[in-house]
Amino acid sequence: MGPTLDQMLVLSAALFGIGMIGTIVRRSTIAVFMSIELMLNAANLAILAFGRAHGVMEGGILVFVVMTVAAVEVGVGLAILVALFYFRDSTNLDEIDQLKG
Amino acid sequence: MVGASELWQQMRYLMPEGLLLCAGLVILLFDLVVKKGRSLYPLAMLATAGAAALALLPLESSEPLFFGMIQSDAFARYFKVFSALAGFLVVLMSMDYKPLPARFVGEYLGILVLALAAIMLLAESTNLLMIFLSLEFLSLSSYILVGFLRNDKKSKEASLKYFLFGAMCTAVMLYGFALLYGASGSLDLPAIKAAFANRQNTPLTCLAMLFILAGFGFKVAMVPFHAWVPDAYEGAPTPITAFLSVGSKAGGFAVLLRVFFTVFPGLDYHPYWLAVVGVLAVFTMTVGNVIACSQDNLKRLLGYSSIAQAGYVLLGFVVMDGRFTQPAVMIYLLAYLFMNLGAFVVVIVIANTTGQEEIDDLAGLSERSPLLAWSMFIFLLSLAGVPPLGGWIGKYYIFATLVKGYLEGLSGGNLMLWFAVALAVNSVIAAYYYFRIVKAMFFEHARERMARPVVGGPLLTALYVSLILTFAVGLWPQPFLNWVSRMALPLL
Repeated sequence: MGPTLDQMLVLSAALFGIGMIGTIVRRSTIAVFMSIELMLNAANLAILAFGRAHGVMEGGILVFVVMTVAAVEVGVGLAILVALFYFRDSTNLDEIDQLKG
Repeated sequence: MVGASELWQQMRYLMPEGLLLCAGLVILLFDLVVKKGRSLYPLAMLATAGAAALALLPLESSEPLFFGMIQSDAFARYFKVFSALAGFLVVLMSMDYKPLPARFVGEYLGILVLALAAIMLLAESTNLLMIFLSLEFLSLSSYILVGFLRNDKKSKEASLKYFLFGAMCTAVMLYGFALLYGASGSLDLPAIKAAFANRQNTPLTCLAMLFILAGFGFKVAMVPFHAWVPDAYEGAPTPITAFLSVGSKAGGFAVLLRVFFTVFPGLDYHPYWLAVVGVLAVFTMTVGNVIACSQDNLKRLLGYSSIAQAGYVLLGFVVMDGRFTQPAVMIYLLAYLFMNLGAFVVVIVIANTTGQEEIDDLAGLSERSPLLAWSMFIFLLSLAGVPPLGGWIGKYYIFATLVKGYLEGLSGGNLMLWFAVALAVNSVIAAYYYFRIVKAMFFEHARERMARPVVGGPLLTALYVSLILTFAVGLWPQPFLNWVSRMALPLL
């Protein structure tokens, strides 16, 4: 017997909450990336838990797709960050302030 | 089980996006061989025009395709035509956009054409997996396109902000998908609908609806998911700003219509929906309009204006009735496509002449280039919703939808009347900042040494097409309305 549906959902909600707070509070872009990954994986966990509860496989496929897309997303995100880093030797979000108004 | 030959048969419904996908990859390949990226423009134009023509073919299937992933119905076909047309105009606008580095034109066009295919896929997805994939496809290509100006710090910064905000909204939306999957036990939209039939609203479905609204609201620039808009719009290359403001917004509205019309009507949730979406829509247009009043950068101003326009369209969603909502939203988007792209054509010409995009750069435009000044005047009037232009037809139908909802005694009808009043008040606020631009063009004198703007062939074509169609939708709306109501989703 593994964990129950409720236990898995509580864990998933906690991970999602931590990720959400992280994206809002952390000022380092890399840490924000990591928080977003945490949110995506919290959703993955919820999908798998629900899939097991319903006894259907569909969700498992979605999880694989999400993992792949998350990797692609980080690739694009880091590329953008590196390009910005050329102009400014910092990844601190508070210092990225050219656009305002 | 579906056989291989049958799958091959189903491919013909995907001709427009298939053409764009092939063209996008071919352009990226050619870019490695051909050193002069400009020679790839005709290819991109041919691909978008061809996709528009293919999408106009009456090739529809009421059956779900590809294991229920895709439904290539009239509704999807409408957004295919829309996206290809927008893409064609954006390619035209890019040809004379000076800041775009010539070396990277190939990559730029390739990614742009792929993003158009993503909009098409988004409009026809009927499975949460496919929706997630095509939404990410569109988002990732948009992030790259926004940051395309290599040596421009603003462009890079806009891209990063857009990315961070987008990734967060996507994660929230995915959690919404997980909750929806949990509540229904399926990822397939029709199956979810069947599972929800005659079921009571639970906290789980409400939460799922709100979370999903975050992801789609990000795409259409709904308050409170609008924070990326001004920065991304200002930093992005101007043709891409235009693309974001019509293309990716239309994609967001398409998937919003499909998901909320197929999945949720089974649930007894109308009062919540009315309050949530109505209030968000009113906030969206008010925030957009009020902040736009204090903007001096044209792209930022048009960005806030596009937030406000999204608010008007969202009001159509308040009346969850297939007869009214869909034609109103679709005709609004059509009019918005032409008037907004037209306004951005003028912005590009101005930026090419003076090197920046402030309202001051428009000073005395009526003396320097009457054609540009009068075209901009028409586009702004249309955006403000002045008859007899396209924007007025759109706004009229949204307004009429709300009033009809009230008269037919739908639940929450009184609220609808208030939303209609909010729409009218907001149109007045919007007129203020649109007329600030008009004032600069017609009543202020040009600074010394301001060059006469030169409009090249491609930009002129885009300008005339937008101008003619802005007038056409306004003056002869009947053919467009007939077309739009034929293309609406089947009623439930």
